[in-house]
Order: sequence, then structure tokens, then C-alpha cells
Amino acid sequence: MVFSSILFLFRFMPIAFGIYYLTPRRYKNTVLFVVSLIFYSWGEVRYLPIMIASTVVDYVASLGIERRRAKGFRGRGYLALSLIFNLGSLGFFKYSGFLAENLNALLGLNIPVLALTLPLGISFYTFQTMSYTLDVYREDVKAEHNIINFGAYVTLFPQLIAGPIVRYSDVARELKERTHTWEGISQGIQIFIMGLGSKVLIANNIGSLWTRVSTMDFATVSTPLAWLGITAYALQIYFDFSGYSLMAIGLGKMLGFEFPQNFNYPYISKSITEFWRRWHMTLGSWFREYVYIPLGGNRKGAARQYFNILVVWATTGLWHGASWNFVLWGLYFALFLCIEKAFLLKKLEKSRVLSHVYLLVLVLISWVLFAITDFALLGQFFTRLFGGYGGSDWIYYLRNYGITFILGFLFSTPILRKVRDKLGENHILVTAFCAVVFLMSVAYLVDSTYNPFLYFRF
Amino acid sequence: MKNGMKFLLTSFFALCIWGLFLADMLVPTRAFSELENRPLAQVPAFSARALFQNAYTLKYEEYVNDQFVGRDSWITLKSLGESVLGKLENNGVIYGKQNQLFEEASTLDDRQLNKNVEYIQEFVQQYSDRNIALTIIPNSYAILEELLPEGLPVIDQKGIIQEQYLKFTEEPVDICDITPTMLEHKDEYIYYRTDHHWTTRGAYLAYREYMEILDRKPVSLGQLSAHEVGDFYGTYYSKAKKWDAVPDVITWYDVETNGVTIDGKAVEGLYDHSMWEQRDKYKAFLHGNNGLMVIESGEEGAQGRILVFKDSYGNSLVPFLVKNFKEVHVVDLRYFNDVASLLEENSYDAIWVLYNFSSLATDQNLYKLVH
Repeated sequence: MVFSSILFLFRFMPIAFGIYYLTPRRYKNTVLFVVSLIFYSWGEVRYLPIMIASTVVDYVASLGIERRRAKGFRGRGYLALSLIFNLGSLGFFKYSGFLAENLNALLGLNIPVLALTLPLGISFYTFQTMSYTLDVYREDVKAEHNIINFGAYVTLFPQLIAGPIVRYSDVARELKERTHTWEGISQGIQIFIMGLGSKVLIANNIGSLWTRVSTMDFATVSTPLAWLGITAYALQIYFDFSGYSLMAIGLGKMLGFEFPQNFNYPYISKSITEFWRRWHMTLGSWFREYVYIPLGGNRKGAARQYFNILVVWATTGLWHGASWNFVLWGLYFALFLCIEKAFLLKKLEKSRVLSHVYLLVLVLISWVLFAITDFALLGQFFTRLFGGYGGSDWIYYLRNYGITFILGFLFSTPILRKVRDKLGENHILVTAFCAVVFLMSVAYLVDSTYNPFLYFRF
Repeated sequence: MKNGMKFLLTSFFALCIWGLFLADMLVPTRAFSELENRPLAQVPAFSARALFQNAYTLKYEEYVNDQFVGRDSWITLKSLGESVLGKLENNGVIYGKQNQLFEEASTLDDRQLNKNVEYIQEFVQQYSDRNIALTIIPNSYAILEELLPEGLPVIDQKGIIQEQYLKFTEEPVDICDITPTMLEHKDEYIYYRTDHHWTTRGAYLAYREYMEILDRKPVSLGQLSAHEVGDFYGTYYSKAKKWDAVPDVITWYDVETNGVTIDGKAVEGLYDHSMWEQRDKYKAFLHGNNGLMVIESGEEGAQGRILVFKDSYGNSLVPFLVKNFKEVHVVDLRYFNDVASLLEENSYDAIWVLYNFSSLATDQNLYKLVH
């Protein structure tokens, strides 16, 4: 089920929240667990066992680690169990086809390529459950003994499918005792509606431009239209993904949880380094915490540090999709992160305008690598971008999407927040604004039954 | 502290979520949407099998979407939203100047078009002893170019039509090219604003052109008694629901008949007058699209027999042919299968293949001409 659907807004929400609020405190986690399972299995009943298995494995592994600890061991076997199970199921469902294809091509083998549908949200929940067992192993958190509480954490429907990647330590306290305040619910609603609007009113809207450009014969696309198209894609992916995160954070707040922030106006960054501190923050910190630092981070010399950066970004790329263009995309960022680390970052931070131009152009190019999976088409699109091809095909699209672009640009900056801070807490204004965004979002949702989430591929 | 205000947003949201949920549950389901011209999804039957194949949830979601309370009004609100965003289009319909609506046509997949043209080529070769003519009716965006929004990418339909005609230079067929006539009259009301069809006046121009080729005298519009039906919101409107769309006026003319049958069953006259009151008024012409319609003319001086292969554009044109021909056979290949027998059993003074460009490029029934 996706949040931005009539089904979620006017069936799941009223029923699930109704039951949740009416249930006495001590059973609230049970309700959460049950409604989350329904939420998850709605679209994909066959993959429910995998998620439940992932929950049970990490629950058992962490208890096992704790028990071994009491006897003076480290509990490595249990950690291995969790890592093998999680990475194994992720590898099997997401990467086995990719691996088989490449082995076949490389060695002339004939391994059958399985056509598996990716279980919903597997990239997210395997990372979450792994982080829990790793934290228990590192003694950062205590193992959860109550399987309902743990199950509620893993399956918690707001963040289940597309993040943010909530680590167990983020919500450990709230799982046991949390309060539901009118203040929190009201803020949650606000954040949820902003997320819904981001997704439905901006991402879907501007996304239709990229859909059109990407299905054109690239040989006929003018240079201005190519840039317009990839800018549209940049806005689409940002508002799509950050919108989803906002909806998750908002829903979490309504349920009494504080989820970590996932996006912090990434497009206003002045360097790639800064961009990745503002974009998909929970994924970045996951890789830093569980890959980069264990590899030695920056503590083992410059050469090792560059190597670590490379490893982290190749895997980050691969996490986004089982295809070489995603690896290329990750390494592309690694390259610029290394360059910035070496000398460029200091200069960028001093510059006021050029650094923004630098960042935006590099990010737009990265989205080309991200959006076009076919290498031949990728090359063709780059020639259109930099070949200086004239044409008038962009005029109509600029006119048609002009206002949407402006809204996208504005909301990519903290301007709305600044206006709000200036006006102070004006409930009437906030409510009116939210009401318009919400009702318009519903109207767009009703109008289009077709509403895929970009991040469902991952 | 402004206590009440604190709950404003929460109350609004709660009211929306639970209020619309309840309203949605209470409002009876609709079987059919007039606006969308299609049956709406109903509550799906539950079965464990359907659930495990992901079919049940999918159907249930379709049902919730289709039956959502106030569906039509939400769609209007979305259209309004698109206007506020300065959009020049909605749901694939382009907003032209002077309230003219167009279909989006920035690319053409010509595979079906080429296939269909080949079927027509085969057909005219197979029946080379018959008097066959071909007309490809241009769609409004090809003729009313000046009303298109600036810079709109659009295929060169006129050029493509000429390319198709050129494929027939060696074939035993008369090309009745109406494009020049349509262009000459582009300032007249020859295409509906809110519908994809041509107006009766547009159809008349094509009829006149064809009569010239056949060397027959076309009836002049002034001699006919005309009727007007206003408030016509056509298919483009249904798609885009443009809030300030200007409705069309349909004109139809009295034509005498001595008997009309549709697939063998007798019907009254050329028009289904009950449809003038309905939303899709164009369906009144020839009682909508049907397999084989046989019209016995009641007009004085009408002579000979003609066969027309047509899509819905032909529906508003056929009444003029009844003025000239004693017997008019109208075939819509979407609902008719036995072309060979029809041609074997009947001699025709003229055969007219009359398709608009859009359907010639997409229709998958023209193979029936030769198979």
C-alpha cells in the first residue's frame, strides 16, 4: 500500500488510527504490529513470510548474542546468522539475476536468470534489522525481549517501505513508553500533508515532463529540452523521496514516534560532501556507521581512506539498484568526494555563487547516470546535453511546466520555513494552507489511479 | 493561549479522514460513469486464491478509487488545479486558442498505420473492378494549426497523409483528398471544440469533394432543413474537464428514408433522437457505431448503391449520401466481419473507404477488409 492513495487515506488511516487511539496503552504495540502486517501484505501477501523470518532471525540472534555475552563470549556466530540471513535474502532477491547475467556474459556460462519480483521494502527493512543486531553486538543497545515490541519496530508501517532507515536505537525508548500529545499529532498531520503535497502535487506533476522526454527519440531532443528534462527529473526524485520520508515522519509523530530527519534541503548545498550530508541522511549515516567506520574510516591513512570511500560508494550505488549504471553513479560521487577531500572543499566553502553552480551541475549529471539504465541511450543523452543542439521543442514544455518548476525551486529551499518562522504560530494560516494542499492532493489522486513510487524499485 | 485554534488543523484532518470514510461507505455504488463513459469497478468477490495472486487487493483498490465519494467533483478540482498551475493541457488534452481543445500528438507509432494502409492496398487490388475511393480525414490539430499553443510539438499529419496517398498512385483507387478543402474552410466551424469529431459542416465538405469525384451533384446545405442541438460537451471535455470549456452545437439535417436496418433489425430513421438529450450526443448520428447499416433512401432523384467503410467520423456524413444514393450500406469494421460475402452478394456503384487519421493509425480491425 502506498501513502499517497485513496485507499490509504480513506480506508487504512481512519480504521488503523481509530483502533490505535482507542486501544489501551499496553496493547498499542500489538495493534501497530497487526495493522503494519496488513499494510505490508496488502500489495504482496506472498512475501510476508520473508519479512516475518527477518524479524524472528534478528530477534533470536540478538537474544543469542546477549546470552553468549553472559558466558563471556562475543556471540559472533549469532551476528553471522543475522548478517548471512539479511544479506543473503537481499542478495538473492535483488542481485541474483544481476550476478547471473554478468557471470553468463563474462564466462560464457548459462546460469538461468531468475525473474523475481523484489519483496516490497526489502532494501530498507533488512538494513534496519541488521543495524539492530549490530548494535546489540557492539553493546550500543540492549536486546529487546518482547517480540511484539520488536515486531512493531521492524514492521512499523510508516517507515517500512521506503524509509527513513530508522535504527532501533532511534526508537527504542518510544517503543516501550511514548506519549501521544495533541501538539505532536497536529505537527504530525502538518508534516504528513506537506509530504503528501510534495509527492502528489510536485513530484508527480513535474515527473510527467521527464516521462515524456525520456520516451522521446533522444536524437531529436534539443539541448535546452534535455536540460529541462533532467531538471524535472531532479525535482521529481527529490520531492518523491523526501515527500515519502515526510509522510513517514508525520505518521510516526501521529503515533508518538520521533523518526530521524532524512532530507535537509540538499539542493542548496555548496559541495558534494555537503549534498550527501543533506540527502537521504539515514542511508548515509547507516553506511558511515556500519561500513565506513568499521573499515577504518579516516584513521588508517589517506590511501586507506580513499579506498574506504570507494567501497562505501560502490555499495551505496549498488544498494540503489542491481545495475551497472548505479555502480557508476556511486563511483561518480566517490570521485568528487575524494577530490573535495583532497583540496576542493575549502575553496568551495568560500565561494558564494560558483559553488552552487558546481553542485547543481554535478548533481544533474548524476541524475542522468541514475535515470538512464541503458548505456547506449546514456551516451546519446549526454551528447544532447552538451552538443548544443537547437530546436524549439522546449518552448511548449517550459510554458506548460513553468509554474510547477518555480514551485519546485522554491520548495527546494527553506523559504517556506522562513516565512513561517517570521509569521509565528498562526494556526488559521497553517490550517488553511494545509487544507488546500490536502484537498488538492486528494483531487490529483482521484484523477490519476496510476501512481507509482519511484523508490519502490529499491 | 488561543486554545481552540490549536486544534484547528487536527479537527480539519480528522473530519476529512473519518468524514469522507463514512460518506464513502454510505453512498451507494454507481454502476456506470457517464463522464468517463465506462462501467465502474464494483466490490470484488473475496477468495483466498485471488488474495494470494495479488488480484483481490488490486481489484479492491480499483473499486475504492472508482467509487470514491464525489469522484467527478474531485476530477473537476484537479482540472482547476492544473489551470492554476498554468498548464496548457490536462489528461492528454491540449488547450488551444479560442477554446479549441486538441488531442496530444507529439509522437506517432506508425506500425499500425503502415499495416492498415497495406490492408487497404490489398483490398483495392482484390476488388480492382470496383469503383473504390479512399479518404483520410485529417484531425483538428492538422487543420487548425493556428489555434495550437505556441511551440507545441506535434507530428506533421498533413505530410504523413500525403505519404500514405502516394502509396496508392499505382493502385486502382480514386484518392479523394479533402485536406485542401478543409484548410480552405479552416475559419469555419468544421471541428467541434470539445470533441474529437468534425462537425456536420466539416463532414459536408468531404461529401461535396467526393461527389465531385463521382461526378454527381451534391445537395446544397441551403436546401436542407437544419436542426440544432446545443450544450454538447464532447470527449475532449470529458477527459480534461476544463472548467471554462465552451460547449458545442450539433447540427443535423432532415433526410427521408424508406427503411433503415442495423445488422438486419429495423430502426427508425438515421438518428437516434433520444441521444440528443444524453451526454454523448454525437451517438445520435446513425444510432452510434454498428456493424452493417442498410439505408433505403426516400429522397427523390436518389439512385445507385454505395458502400462506405467508416469510423465514427462517417456517422455525421452518411446522411448526405442518402440524398444521392438509393441504397447506402454502411460498415464499421469494428463490429462487422464478413466483407467478402457482402461484396459478393451486392454490386456497388461506388465504394468509399473513409477513415480519420487517428483511427487509421490505431484501429486494429482493418485486416477484415481482406481476411
